[in-house]
Amino acid sequence: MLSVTGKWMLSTACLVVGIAMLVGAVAMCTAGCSQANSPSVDARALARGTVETLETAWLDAANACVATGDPATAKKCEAFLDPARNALVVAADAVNSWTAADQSNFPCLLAQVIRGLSDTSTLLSGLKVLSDQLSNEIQDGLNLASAFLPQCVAADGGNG
Amino acid sequence: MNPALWLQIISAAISDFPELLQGIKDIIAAVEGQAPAAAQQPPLTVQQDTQAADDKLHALANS
Repeated sequence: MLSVTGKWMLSTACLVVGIAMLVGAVAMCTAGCSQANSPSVDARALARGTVETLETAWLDAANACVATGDPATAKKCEAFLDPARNALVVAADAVNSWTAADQSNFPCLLAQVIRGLSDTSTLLSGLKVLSDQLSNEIQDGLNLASAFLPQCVAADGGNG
Repeated sequence: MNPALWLQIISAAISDFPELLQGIKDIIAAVEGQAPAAAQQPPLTVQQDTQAADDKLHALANS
């Protein structure tokens, strides 16, 4: 049987340990839990990665078109890839400067790039010359761009 | 053990706790503060990078 002093010491010790554990948990959550639950990605870094991925996809798409050796196919590719490249160049410039206006224009530039690449992908697929690598690159680009694309729809009222 | 000594130990733990907490906060702040700032990335050069492939595509399309 514990004496009154013993009980008091025991309850005080429990209180101190409890407070320590609570404060420790709060401190650790302040340091790490919020980051683990909602990883923040720098928008510019994501934009840069998206443009680089789309550039790789564009290059491989253009090379695949050239590899067919067919001028008619190349002409069709040109119709898709020219606007895509123009948009990609402007998107890259936007990432380089990354002003408020750049950030506003960026989503719809990506949408234009994706459209051109998707059309080229469909064309090459129909000709049975779409490689898995190119298909995956375009898909990767689309996945990355998907973080920005909804803003394009919002900006043009869904008409773009 | 002497209850007075226990009391002293517990009091010391309580009184030191804010200091301990502050130490943890300082470490967190130091880690965050010492994290290297995002390295200045070289500019993207899509136009130059894609020029050769674009030229080939146009050459074939117009052949």
